[in-house]
Amino acid sequence: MTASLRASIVLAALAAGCDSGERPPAFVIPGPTVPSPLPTAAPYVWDSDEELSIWVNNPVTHGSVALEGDGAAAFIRIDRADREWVLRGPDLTLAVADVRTLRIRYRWRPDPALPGTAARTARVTAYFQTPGPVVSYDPIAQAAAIIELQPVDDWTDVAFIPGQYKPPIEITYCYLHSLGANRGVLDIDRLELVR
Amino acid sequence: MQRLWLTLLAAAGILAASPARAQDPRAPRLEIGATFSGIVPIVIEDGPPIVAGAGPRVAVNVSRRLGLEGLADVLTGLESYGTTALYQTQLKYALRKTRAGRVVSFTVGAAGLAWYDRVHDTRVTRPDRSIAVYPGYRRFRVRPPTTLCAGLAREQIFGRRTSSYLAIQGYVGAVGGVAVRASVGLSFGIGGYR
Repeated sequence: MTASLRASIVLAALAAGCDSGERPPAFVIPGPTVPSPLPTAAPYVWDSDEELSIWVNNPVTHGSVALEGDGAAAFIRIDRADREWVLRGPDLTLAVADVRTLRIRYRWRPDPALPGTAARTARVTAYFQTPGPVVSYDPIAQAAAIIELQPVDDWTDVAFIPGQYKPPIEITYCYLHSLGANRGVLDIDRLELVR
Repeated sequence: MQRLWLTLLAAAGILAASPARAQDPRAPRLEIGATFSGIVPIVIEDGPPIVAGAGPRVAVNVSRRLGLEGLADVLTGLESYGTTALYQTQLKYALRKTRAGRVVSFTVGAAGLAWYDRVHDTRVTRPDRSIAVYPGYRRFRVRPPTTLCAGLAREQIFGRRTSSYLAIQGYVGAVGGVAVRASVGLSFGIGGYR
C-alpha cells in the first residue's frame, strides 16, 4: 500500500465520520431463590401464617422482620421501620401474566415520640422481577411500584402505584423494600397480586 | 464537504506552482512537532470561555512554499466524559520567508472532533441480592471535518533542525461555532531547514 493510498483512506474515514465500540448488553446474576413450599389458598394471595412465613423465612428477607400470630390472624411485623428492610416473596412456578401491582393490608403506627414536624409516612417500594424488559432505557431494570403509607391503627388495604412501568406485566417474583424512614411499627396482614 | 476539499486541492495546485526565491530557507520534506493551544468560542453563550489543548502536528512540504499539515489536540476544560480531541488538516502557504529563518504562512483547512470513552464495569447489588452487571466498554467516535479554519502561522527557524511555531486561526462550524484558536509549538524538520 503506497503512502498516498494510506493517506487517502485516512482522509476518507475522517470525511465520513465513524463510530466504533458498542455498549455490551447488561445482564443479571440472579440472587438466592425462594421456592414456595405450598400453594396459596387463593391464587397469588398470602394471608395465613404458613403463607406469610414464606415471605419472612427465606435467605433474602432481612431487617427487623418477624411473623406474629397464628392462622388467618397472622401478620408480619416490622418493628424498626426506621432501618432498611426487605420482604422477598416466593418464586412463582410459572411466570404470572397480567399483573398490575401489589396490594397489602397494613397498619402503620409511627413512634409517638416523633417531633411534630416529622413526616409520619412510611415509604415502601414493591419490585417485580419480569422475564423481559419493562423499560427500554434499562432492559434489566425491575418494575417498581411505590406507596407512602399513611398512619392508620386499623387494618387498611392499599395498592402500590406503578412507577416506571406500564401495567399489566408478567412477573416471576416480587419483593418489598424500604430504605427506612420514620421510627414506628409497620404490620402487614395480607399481600395480594392485583391482576 | 466534498466541495470544500476540492476547493482546497485546487488552491493547493495553484499555490504549489508559485516560484520561490533563492534565499528562502529550505523546507524539509517532513516536519514533526507538538503544539499547545487555546480555543476561545466567540458566539456560543454556554460552555467554557476557553478550551485548552495539546497534541502532535505533522507537516508534509509539497514544495518550497506549500505544505500539507495534520494536527490533533487533546482538549481539556470541556464538560464531557472521556477524551475529546480536535483534529485538523490544512494547507499552509508561505507568504513571506526571510534569510533570518522567519516564515509567515497562510493556512486554510478543515477541522472536526473525535471522542474516546472508556466506561468501566458497573455492578449494582439489588435489595433481592441479585446483581445487575453493566459491562465496561470502549468507544471511539469521529465526526466529519465540517468546520472551516483559516489563519496565519509564523515559524522561526533556529538551529539546523528546529523551529518554533505560532499560529492564530479562526473557526466557523461545528467546532465552537465561531471561535479563535491560538497555538504555540515546536517543530523538528526531518533533513534540516538549512
